[in-house]
Amino acid sequence: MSITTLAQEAATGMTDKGLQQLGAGLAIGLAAGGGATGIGILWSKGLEGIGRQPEARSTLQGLMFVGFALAEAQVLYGLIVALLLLLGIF
Amino acid sequence: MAFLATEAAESVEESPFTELVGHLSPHHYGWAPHWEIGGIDLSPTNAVVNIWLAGFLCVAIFWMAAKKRQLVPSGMQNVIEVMVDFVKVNIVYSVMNTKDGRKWFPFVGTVFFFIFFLNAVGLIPWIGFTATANIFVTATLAIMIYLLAVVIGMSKNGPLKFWVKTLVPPDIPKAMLPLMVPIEVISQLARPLSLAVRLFANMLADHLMLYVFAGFIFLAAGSAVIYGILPISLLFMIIFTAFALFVAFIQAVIFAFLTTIYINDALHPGH
Amino acid sequence: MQLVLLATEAGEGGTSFNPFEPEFGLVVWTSVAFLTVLFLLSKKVFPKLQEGLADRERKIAEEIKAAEATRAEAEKILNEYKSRVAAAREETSQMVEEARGQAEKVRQDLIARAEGDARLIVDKARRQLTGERERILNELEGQLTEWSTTIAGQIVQRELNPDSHRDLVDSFIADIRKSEAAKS
Repeated sequence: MSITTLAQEAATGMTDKGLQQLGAGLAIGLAAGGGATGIGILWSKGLEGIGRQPEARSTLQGLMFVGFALAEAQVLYGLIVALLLLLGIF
Repeated sequence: MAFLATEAAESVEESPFTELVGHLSPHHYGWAPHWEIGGIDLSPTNAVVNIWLAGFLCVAIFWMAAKKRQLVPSGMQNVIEVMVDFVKVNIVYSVMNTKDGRKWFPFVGTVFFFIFFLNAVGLIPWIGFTATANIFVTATLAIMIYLLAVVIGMSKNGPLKFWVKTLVPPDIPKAMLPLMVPIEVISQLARPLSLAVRLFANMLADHLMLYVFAGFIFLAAGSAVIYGILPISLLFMIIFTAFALFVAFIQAVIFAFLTTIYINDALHPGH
Repeated sequence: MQLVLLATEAGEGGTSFNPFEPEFGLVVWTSVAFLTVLFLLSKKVFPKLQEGLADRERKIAEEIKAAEATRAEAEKILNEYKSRVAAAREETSQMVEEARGQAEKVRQDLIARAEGDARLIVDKARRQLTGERERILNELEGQLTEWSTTIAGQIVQRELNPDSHRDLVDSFIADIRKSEAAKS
């Protein structure tokens, strides 16, 4: 599918439903990107901390998992918004 | 909210995903009685049965553990005691002081184990549905807990003192107050909301994931692609089931942890 | 394969997917179940469990205390034994030292006494010897006097010549020798 046909379709066939789907994709995509960045930073710092102080491992690990779940929840907020968009509630 | 999707329903035909993901909505059993009191449908849907099962398991396992108590624990009692100790040390006492912790441990423990069993029951094969994947269940729990925290705080500190201490942050110049107080109000309102949505979204996402991978199998059924799709999908379903068990545990931990924090904030506002 | 499909009604039974469908029945059931579980667990189960845990903690603490007391006692006894053994060793070595000293004294005594005895014996022997010599000398003197008087008488009776003198002296000496030999 060439860009011109895409553009033509965009010009002629842009529907509300399509926009909702686009929004849903953007919502979950951006949310996942942000969440992944957050979890990456969290674990990198956590592992650094463990490397520096191995005796604090158990404490840090517990906190890391809690932080992981909290960061992951933000991604799922994006998922909820995506679902709301797909289901046409907004 | 029943207005949604009626438009779409007219224009699309059924797909495997429709059927499978539809399992995530509570649905009535054909054989079950229809109970209705005051316009509220109380019939035992699969979600209701799920809640019953979780509550029953929660009470039954602990009842047995408490009844057959031995000085040197073994088997099931060991598991229970490790979990109770985990809740006590890692959740309650990491937030509260010893006096409050002793008083509030039963409440936080109940929250933790009830939610954990609700989450975990959904992972038993053939049930395939978890009540915590419904926002009304999680919202009920979250709002109940938040209201309890507010009531406790008001009765402990006096209503006026409680709200002033909660909504007005200390050590803030007076000029900043018009900005800070609304922020505090919003953060208070966000507490039950985030508590409810976090649990709901996590459990929904886990089950949605499982159903999407299962849907690929049904979608590929009848064509040669199935031989490639089936093992990959099954593998992913196994991995995600294990992950879902982990999430079921960690979300229960977080729910109980935040409950402890909110109650502690209510007991000692303004920290 | 549009996900919008999820929103459709799937046949009878109402398996449409909408997580936001109001379900007030669930609200009621959730509250009821939660409150029931809360009541049962916090009134009946957790107190017992906590009591059990507290019991065990107390018991373990007691055992540890008892074990510590026993150990302390054992250590005390051990120390006592050690000091006793040390004292005994001290005593023994002292005794050995003493015995050695005594033995040395005895040896010195013995040596001294033996030396004294030996000296006494030697003295006595020497005394006897000198006494004997004196006596012999005295006897010899008497004899000599007697003999010289005899010889002188004989000399006076005989004629005086050198040969007779020599014979006389010779016989005299032979006489002495004879008497000496007979004496010894």
